Amino acid sequence: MTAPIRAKDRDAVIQSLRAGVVPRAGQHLIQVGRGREVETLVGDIDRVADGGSSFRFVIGEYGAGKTFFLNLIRAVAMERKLVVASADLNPDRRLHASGGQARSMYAELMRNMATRTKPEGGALAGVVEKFIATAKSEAKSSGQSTETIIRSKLEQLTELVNGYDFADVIAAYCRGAEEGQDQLKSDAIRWLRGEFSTRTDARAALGVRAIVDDSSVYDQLKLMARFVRLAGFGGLLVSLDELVNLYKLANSQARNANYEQLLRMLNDSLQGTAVGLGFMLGGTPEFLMDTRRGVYSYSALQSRLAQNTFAVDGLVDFSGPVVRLSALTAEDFYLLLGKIRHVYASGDPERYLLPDPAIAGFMEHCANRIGDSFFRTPRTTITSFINLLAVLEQNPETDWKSLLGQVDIAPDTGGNNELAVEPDDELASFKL
Amino acid sequence: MARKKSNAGLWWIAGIIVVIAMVPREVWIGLGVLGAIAIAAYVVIKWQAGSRAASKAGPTDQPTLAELMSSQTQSRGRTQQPPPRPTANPGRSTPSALPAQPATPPMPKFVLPVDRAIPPPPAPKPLASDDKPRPSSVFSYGSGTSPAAPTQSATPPVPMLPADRAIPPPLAPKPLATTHKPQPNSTFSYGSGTPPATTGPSHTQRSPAEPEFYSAQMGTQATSEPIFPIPKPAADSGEAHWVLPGETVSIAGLDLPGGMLYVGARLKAANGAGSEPSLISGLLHIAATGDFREQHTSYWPSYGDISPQARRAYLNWLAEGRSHPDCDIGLVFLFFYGLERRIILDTSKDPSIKCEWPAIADELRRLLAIYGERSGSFLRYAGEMLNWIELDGASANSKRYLEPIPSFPRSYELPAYLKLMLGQSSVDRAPIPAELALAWVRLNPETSLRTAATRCPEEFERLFVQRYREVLGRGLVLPKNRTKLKFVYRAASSGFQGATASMGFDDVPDVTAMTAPIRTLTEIANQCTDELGAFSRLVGKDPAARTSLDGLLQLPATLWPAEAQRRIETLKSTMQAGALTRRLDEVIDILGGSSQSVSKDRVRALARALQDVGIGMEPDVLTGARAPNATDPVVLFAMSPGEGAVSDTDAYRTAALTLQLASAVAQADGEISDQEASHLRREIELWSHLTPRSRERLHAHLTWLTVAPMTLASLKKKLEPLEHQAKQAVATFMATLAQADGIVSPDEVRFLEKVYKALGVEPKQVFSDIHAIGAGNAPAPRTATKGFRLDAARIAELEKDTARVSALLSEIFTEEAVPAPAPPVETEPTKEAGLLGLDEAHSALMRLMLSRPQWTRFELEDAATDLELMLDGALEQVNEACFDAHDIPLSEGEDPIDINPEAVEKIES
Repeated sequence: MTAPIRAKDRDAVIQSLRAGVVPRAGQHLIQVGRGREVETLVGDIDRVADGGSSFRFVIGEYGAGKTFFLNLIRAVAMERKLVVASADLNPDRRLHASGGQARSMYAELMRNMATRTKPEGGALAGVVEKFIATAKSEAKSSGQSTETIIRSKLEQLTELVNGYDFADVIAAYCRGAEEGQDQLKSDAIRWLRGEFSTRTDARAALGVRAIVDDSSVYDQLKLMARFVRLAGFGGLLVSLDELVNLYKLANSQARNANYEQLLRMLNDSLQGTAVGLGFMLGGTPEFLMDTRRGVYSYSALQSRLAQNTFAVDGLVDFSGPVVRLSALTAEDFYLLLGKIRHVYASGDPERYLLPDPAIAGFMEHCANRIGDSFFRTPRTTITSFINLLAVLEQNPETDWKSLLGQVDIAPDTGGNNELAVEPDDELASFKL
Repeated sequence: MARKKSNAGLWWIAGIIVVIAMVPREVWIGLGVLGAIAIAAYVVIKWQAGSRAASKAGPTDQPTLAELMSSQTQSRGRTQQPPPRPTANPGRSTPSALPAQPATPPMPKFVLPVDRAIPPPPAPKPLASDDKPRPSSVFSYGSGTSPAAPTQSATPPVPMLPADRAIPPPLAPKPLATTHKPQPNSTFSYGSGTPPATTGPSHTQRSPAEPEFYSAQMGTQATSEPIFPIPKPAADSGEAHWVLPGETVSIAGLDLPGGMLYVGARLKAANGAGSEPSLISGLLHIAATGDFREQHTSYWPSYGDISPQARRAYLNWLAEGRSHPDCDIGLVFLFFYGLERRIILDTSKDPSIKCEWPAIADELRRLLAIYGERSGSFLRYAGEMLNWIELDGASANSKRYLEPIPSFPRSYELPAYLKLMLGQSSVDRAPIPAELALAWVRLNPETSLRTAATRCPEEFERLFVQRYREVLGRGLVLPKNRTKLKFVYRAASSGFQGATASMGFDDVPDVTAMTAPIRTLTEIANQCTDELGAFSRLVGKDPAARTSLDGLLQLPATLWPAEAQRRIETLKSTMQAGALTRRLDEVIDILGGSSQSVSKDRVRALARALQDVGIGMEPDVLTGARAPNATDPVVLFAMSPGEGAVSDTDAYRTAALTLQLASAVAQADGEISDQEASHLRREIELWSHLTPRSRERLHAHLTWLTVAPMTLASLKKKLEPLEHQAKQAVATFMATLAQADGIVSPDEVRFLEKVYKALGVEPKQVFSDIHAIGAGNAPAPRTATKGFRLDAARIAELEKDTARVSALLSEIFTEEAVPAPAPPVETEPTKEAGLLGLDEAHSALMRLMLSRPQWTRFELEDAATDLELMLDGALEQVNEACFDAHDIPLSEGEDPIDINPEAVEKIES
């Protein structure tokens, strides 16, 4: 903790926290506790990097830090040379759909594809080009044409669904790059991103007969996972958040179709058929356990998610597919604030703007203002804390005690909306 | 009779005068002659009939004597009548010997002339005389008025009359006497409390110091002997005598079984005046028929005074065995008078008669059983009589309370014998034996016991004895009080004329003067009758139920017969290992009952009975649980002894409810697994706010629930009264429980949702709670604890965890330790290759990039094309290499592309 913190990381953390969002970088600086959980997921990443597969539900309540945790793992994965594709599900982005929502989700994943060098996303082109570049250099050294090398490298992909077309598209990109046809390159990237909505368009643009459509999203992800490994990355980690949106689907058939996709992922990962592909799925307990609409309503999935029978009475087992994040406690929160202070001071204890008792005082103030559960939905509280720090930084002569009373904190009610569910549409009434 | 005759004569005279005035003389002369003949004939016939009856009654009697006695009795009877009539018609009467006795009391205290050596008494009048019989003697009945002038006109003509039976000559008026016997024991005195009289007439040959009134002495002292015994009837004389118990005597054609009667021509009453009321005298006319069910008698009946029909009725009753319940009570009294005389009077003269007492006491008890309820009067007299019998010599034993208690009828007073027993125990400061206490309660007139005590006396007795010992240990010790015990017997027979007899018992106190002890006992008794109430009602409805299981169930189990007790013991021993699960009908079978119908009441009764012997039953029907059917399982378990029901506290109810819910939850996946059960049992043990007995029951309840799980719907109603906070706690517990086996199945979740809904807790919270538990935290208590506190220990633990994870992460994020890129930097730049291990083209691009702080994408794309590179792939490669070497990317941003100065610094260094 004595190591100085890079200004970039510090700013990333402080700015996003101040804005009330989870930082995309530097999460490790403010990680509090959860050693077992982090270890578990890091183990997953290592397995994926070794060509294995993983599948994890990260289940936590609103405010428990699911997104933060996912981002932390994402950062770890990128650090371990994995390509990370992340997306939040929403009503227009699902794992399975018939109206393009699944493709939309896939497109979002590809857009957000990130590597260590491009942590903000958009790394798809880089990945493809990196693959081609390695092929090219190989071609140079072996004297064969680049296309031949690419074809031979992608040979192993053709056994998969859409694999042949995938190889075609990569070759087309290569061609475009070599021949300076930017249109061909961008068409190829569009295809890879799943942005072609009709086969005709794809055929006209790239000469391939297939496109990434709603039904082939998962297959495409498997292809992509293999591809990134060919491009020299460790594997692909797919991070999906807000799975509660599946739970919110009003139509039970649609829900079940999505759960079926989850089941496929789970099965593949447990059976080892997916190579270098890991999944992290963030959701709330309702999503997991609601027996009418949650994962538990899909019994095949439920039985695979069963907890370890021996993990009782304080014994925990993190080898199961479900990692549960407990809600923050006051003590967690206390340490978190301490870490934020530390980050704010760029890791220099000399520059701490608040003494330790001030943190407790701040928490007490929060407790008085918005009730005891403030630490369970910490978003607004953290924002207030950083604001307080900012004021203190700019007005060093001010006494924190006098400021404390002025800090205004609004209760975080975001969680209430999150659980609002429209009723199933199956039982809608109608009149003749 | 004579008076009647004289009256008739008057009328005849008046009639004759009138007729004479109207009818021709000759006719009337004839008629008059005829009338005279008829009168004469009537008198003759009557006399003959009387003599025949007398000869039948006492076969040894001589008709003449009987006749004589009869007439004497009649004459005496007449003398006792107020004499207005004779005075009203003095002219008609013969010179009357009747003394004017205006002050004769209606119930005179009698004074017995006791002198054996009385001068020849005046004889009764000749028999056949149609004259008014004269009293041969006149008694003064203690009135203290002027002496009546006796008429002594009659000569003593009957030589066969023994002298000692003669009625004494007129006595001087005597004041009523008392005895002044100093003996503490049972002085039986006749007379009022007036000062002792001096001797009367000089015919007393006794020492003047001795009172000449009759004194009968009771007691064990050998020295006490009758002082003035009444002359015995000569056994051989055929006079009135006592028919010994068990003997049969035949009178007026009837066989009177059982004996205990005075039979004979005449027998003086105990007071010496008049005839013994109970004497069955052969001199008296007996009608041919008489129904003892009719009312024949008035107060203080006497055999001599009742009508011939009544006598016949009396004899009929005697012949019938003295047991017809509808018999006129007066006749019973007649019989009783005889017993009384035998006990009190005869025994005083001849102590050997005491050997008859047990038989007499038995007879009294028999009669009491039949007639005690019909006549309070009889109940009292006979009861007192029994007391007299039992008390005789009772004080000789100062530990009488340890002996068996004779039976007494319940009357208006506690039997004196009982009082003596109690008093003696009080003197000894000894605890009252339970049996004695029971008798006290039963016979205490102020205590009214419920029907149960009389309808099922045996059960009541046993129960009372048990409860008495439970409550009072060795027994109730009476405090010593000051009121001394004294027994006063008031004779019933008119022959004793209301005389009283009293007994004193030294300083034995009369415990009935105290109310506290009997109140204590009454409370116990009432408790017993309460306990027996159900049984009593059952027996009242169906007497056959007394021995059935139904009956048993209503009894407190300690009263069960030995057979049933043994079954219980067997059951208990099988429960040593733990709770016993059986079907209800099996349990009933074990207890020896038939299982034809298992009603709610029966099950309740069964549970209550089992509870009494320390066996608890689940479901707890006694506190309102639904009664199981015959085929439903019940759980029997050994209950620790203790007071009161455990299951009526709020805490218990909540716990039980939680358990029921829990079992329902655990059941959600089909069955309660061992793990779930053991979890529940652990939980029960942790509920320290409950008493051990409550927990015992909860364990049994759980066992029952595993075999007979509850449905949630049935629980819903019970959940209503709980507080919200309690509901929350219950809900959370349910969630914990569902996790107990490590698997939260959808069924369980579904059930939990229902539970939460039933509890009125937000069903969505199910997931949070399950999740929280699954995440390793106990669900945060939602109670609003005021004040904000941090747990320092937890912070320390968290800090450790955080340090660990930080170390892990920093290992990942800072790979500074790898000094791999050093060689390329050190290699010749002229080589144009190997910068950070990259190939030629990429190294060239990198160098190019390092030359400017910022590039537009377009510029770099051109450069890349020139190098036959694709820009994105090249940047990826370059940055990757830079990352690997320096943990920092070279370029940032898409367009423009910034070159990281830090990286430049590092690479160039």
